Amino acid sequence: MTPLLAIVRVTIRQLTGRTRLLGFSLLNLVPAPLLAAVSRAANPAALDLELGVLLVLPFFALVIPITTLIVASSALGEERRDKTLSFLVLRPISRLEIALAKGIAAATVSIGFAVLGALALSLTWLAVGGSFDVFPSILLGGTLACVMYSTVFVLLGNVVVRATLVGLIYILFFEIIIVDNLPRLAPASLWRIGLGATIDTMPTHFPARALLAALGNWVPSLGSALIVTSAVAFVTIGLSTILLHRTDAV
Amino acid sequence: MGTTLVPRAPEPLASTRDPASAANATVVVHGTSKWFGTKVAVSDVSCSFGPGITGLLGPNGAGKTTLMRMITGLLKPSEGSVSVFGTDPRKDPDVYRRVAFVPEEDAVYAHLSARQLVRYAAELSRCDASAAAVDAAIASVNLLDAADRPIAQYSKGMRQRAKVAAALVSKPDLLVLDEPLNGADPLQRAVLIGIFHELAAAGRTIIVSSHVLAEVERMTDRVIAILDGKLAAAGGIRAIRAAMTHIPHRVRIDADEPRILARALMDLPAVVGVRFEDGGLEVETSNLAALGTALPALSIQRSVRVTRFEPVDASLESVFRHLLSIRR
Repeated sequence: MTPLLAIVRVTIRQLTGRTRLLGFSLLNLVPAPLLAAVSRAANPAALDLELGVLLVLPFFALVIPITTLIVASSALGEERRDKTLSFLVLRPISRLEIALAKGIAAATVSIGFAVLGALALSLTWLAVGGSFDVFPSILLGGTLACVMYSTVFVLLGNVVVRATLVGLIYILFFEIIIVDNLPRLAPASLWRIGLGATIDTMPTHFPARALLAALGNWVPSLGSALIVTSAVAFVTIGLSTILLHRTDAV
Repeated sequence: MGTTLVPRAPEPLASTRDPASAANATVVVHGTSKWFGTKVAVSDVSCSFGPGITGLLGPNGAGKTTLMRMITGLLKPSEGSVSVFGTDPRKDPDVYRRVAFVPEEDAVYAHLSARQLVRYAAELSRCDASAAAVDAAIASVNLLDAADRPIAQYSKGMRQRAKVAAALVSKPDLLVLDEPLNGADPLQRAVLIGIFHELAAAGRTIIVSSHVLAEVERMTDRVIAILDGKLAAAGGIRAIRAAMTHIPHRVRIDADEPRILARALMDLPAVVGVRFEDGGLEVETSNLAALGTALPALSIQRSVRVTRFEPVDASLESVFRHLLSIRR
């Protein structure tokens, strides 16, 4: 096995302890019962719109960012905290391989939880709306968001001791409150980019128009979301590599 | 405050200026300093290490760990340079095919078993990660019985051995070990020391840090002594031993007739000075062993009952501090 794959394997194991598996699985399943409850209580005329919003907004704006924050900031952050980083850096492997492996591992775990959440939402939509075809769109947008958040939070975990706190301020204060009031800043909100890809690929019968208001001034297409995701991953993994190289590894 | 009686000039010291450079050096530290903010951890240290075992000796907080971390490339020197096999380890990660480091702290993946840890180390080092190679490394530290238990359940000594096994699996030419015997019981210590001797005999460079002189003495004769981040002494361990014997020591002596004993002690050549301190004597001596030998005869001769004989500053740190003052 190559060093890169070995790091990915061990990191995935590190990030998926029993408590985390249970906690994040529950968190990712929360929007589904919410949707089911509203579908019974809502005014039938407004049902489609409300369901559309409830289906994806909490999932994209809270569940994916918070799950990925805790998972990804630990990927390098725990190595620093537990002083095991020396085990990685004193090897005949480049810092790029280490940063890349950590990003891949964090994204893999986050996407795993996102698959669970997207599956639960799509099954609920199947029960309420009669079709399962929203699953690929939700998963696609969720995956892009997970990749962006993972690489950003891996970097954050490597730089800041209180990465979770800083990340929460970004998610809850910047992405939700600031961007909501200053829609011009929407391109700096990662979940909105993922949601753009989801809306762009949703089946026409899904009430996606209800979500456009949440996106602000910029509604990214699937192509734009892919480009932004690649750019964010490239820049953040590059920065992680440089920091691993330049800073002391203890 | 005590009263000082007739101070005597100290006897000449044994030479402590042993060369800090090794023959066939594989690791060269040149004018290296490291500071963290305003705290200087290592100051202008120049020394080298070659095949065989070299003990890096010094009290806790002396700068040994910082020096080792600079040698391995974990820390970037604030000043000066470190060369390992002719290259800067921070610029050429390929050198890590030949280098392994065992840190002092519990820097292990507690969720892995020893077998998984050693396999992981082999994979990262791009060396033989087969089950046979992994088992051989684990067997060398006598850990096969517990190889599949999570490291979280290990004792400190077992964790140390798991880390050593993970270092050995890549068959390194340079092995850097930070206090590797900490937490190990006497049997485990013997096993680990045996491994280090075998590797040294095979021409590998082994750098072992310790704050216990006797521990280092069992492993090697060559020592680099560090104190307050500075090179305090280098060379043969016998020089350190000699220095321990010949530098002025302070000894606390309690007796029923301290004034009679003080007068008698002042006649001994090994005694530099005597002070009355809290009802007893604080004796400064240039030869602790000679004083210890002469005291029983003296007490019988003068009919003085000695109730306490205790070196006040016989720690290794005091020896190093003295050596450092000589180097300045």
